[in-house]
Amino acid sequence: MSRAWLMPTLEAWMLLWWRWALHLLRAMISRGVDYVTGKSELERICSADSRAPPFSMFSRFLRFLRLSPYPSPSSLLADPTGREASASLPSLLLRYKIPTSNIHVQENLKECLRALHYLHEFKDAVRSLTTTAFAWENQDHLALLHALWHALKPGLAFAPAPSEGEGRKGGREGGREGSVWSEIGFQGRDPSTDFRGMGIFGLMQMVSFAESRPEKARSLLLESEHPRRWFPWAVTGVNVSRFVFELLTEDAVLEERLVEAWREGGREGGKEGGMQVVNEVYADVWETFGRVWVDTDPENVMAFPPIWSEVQRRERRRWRQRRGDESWRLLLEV
Amino acid sequence: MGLLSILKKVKRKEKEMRLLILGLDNAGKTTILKKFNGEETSTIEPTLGFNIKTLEYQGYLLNVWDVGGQQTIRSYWRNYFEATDGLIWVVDSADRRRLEVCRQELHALLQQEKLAGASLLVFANKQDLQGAPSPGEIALTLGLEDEAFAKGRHWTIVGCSAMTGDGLEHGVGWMVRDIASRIFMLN
Repeated sequence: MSRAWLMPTLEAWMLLWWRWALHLLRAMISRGVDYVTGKSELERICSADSRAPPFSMFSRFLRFLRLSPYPSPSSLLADPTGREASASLPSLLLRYKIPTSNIHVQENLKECLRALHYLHEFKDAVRSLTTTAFAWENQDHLALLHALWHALKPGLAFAPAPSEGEGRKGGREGGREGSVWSEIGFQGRDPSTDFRGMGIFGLMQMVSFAESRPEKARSLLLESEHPRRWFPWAVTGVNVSRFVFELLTEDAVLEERLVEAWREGGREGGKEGGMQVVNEVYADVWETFGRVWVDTDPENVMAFPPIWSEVQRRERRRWRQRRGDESWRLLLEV
Repeated sequence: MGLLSILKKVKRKEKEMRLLILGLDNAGKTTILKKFNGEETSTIEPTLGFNIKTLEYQGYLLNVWDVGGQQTIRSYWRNYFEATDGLIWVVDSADRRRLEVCRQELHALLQQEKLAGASLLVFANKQDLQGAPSPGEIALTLGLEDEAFAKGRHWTIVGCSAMTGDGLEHGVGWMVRDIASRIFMLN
């Protein structure tokens, strides 16, 4: 019996204790600063200049929400009147003793709440995409699937109008169900059964990857056809989407970048900006997977689970570092 | 360490069972495993490779292997046959077009010597979908009632829905009892 399983558990425990001690220390320092400056932490955060390019105020605001027992982000959004973010403003001002006369702080706080609201809506939008199943009858879905094919296999056309019969071109069946789909790594003749829990979101991400980084996507497709260590490209793509969705909903690692994109995009294009962010993350994860897969040079596709966990571990670590909640920052930014 | 504790250990080891879940892709193998284990089932992706889970059920430790069902992966199934006590074959009842493929794969699988002693549980999954044929019809289509098939094998078919969880407990319960009566008779 090996004890290898014990090590990660131990590591996790020590990390947990360390964090706990850190938060205690931080709370004490924060109280001290509250006392000296006469301002609550929230007021200090929102006193910053919101126009400074990286919206660092919001990052601090998010960290503040994560660390303080009140208010939870969901409670800020749980407003029966259509989740209008600023509705929770008065209670926040009261609770953190922010003078109502301080317009600057109030405006900043409102902006933070708006950003929080945006995040919530964006996550909802993505979630609803994941629950939208691919349907052959849906022309938009079909167009996406065809776009994926054309991006991955340029120059290999389908029959022009699939509904009009048996026309063939380039030896490919009409772009509907058929064995052609396994050429880009679907499991069988019917891709619609492969999107599973990721729904149309999984397909959208694949298309975006294949169109925005075509060389990379195609070289990965080529790699996926390796005689020994082949892997199904599209199905791997759905796995990557599932991980990106996890990062988006559980880990809170993408929030700061999403909000930055939202502010840069002038709000109106908020959803597209957010989509672009998650699609870039998707493409990055794919590239990491490709590197690790080739470096590991596995015996066959059954080695996918451990390699895939390794890729996820690496990506998570990278995001943690980028998010910048290193210990020293937690203690200095109070 | 006395004799008793050694005996206890041996006994504990004996209470383990190894189950293998197979079936065509999109049959619902992983969803069944997760649902039975009380996990979230809304964001499942196609299984590349396999999942392993150890569950405790009625005092037995079940080592469950759930292997992907994609056609190109099926050739690796045989790497997981060794020491299998029970085979769970999952059928997407609503996928009428592939029931024939499903029948062929199952029959080929049962020719395997290493699986000769394993109990067979067929889950006729997705019974919650409208128009899904009943377990009885599935049994006929898969040729489970053929004499040559049934000869000497412990098997049953159970209708289930991995989405709602209906039937899962019933099927796994049968499997565990059947294996226990075969290999732990001395207890």
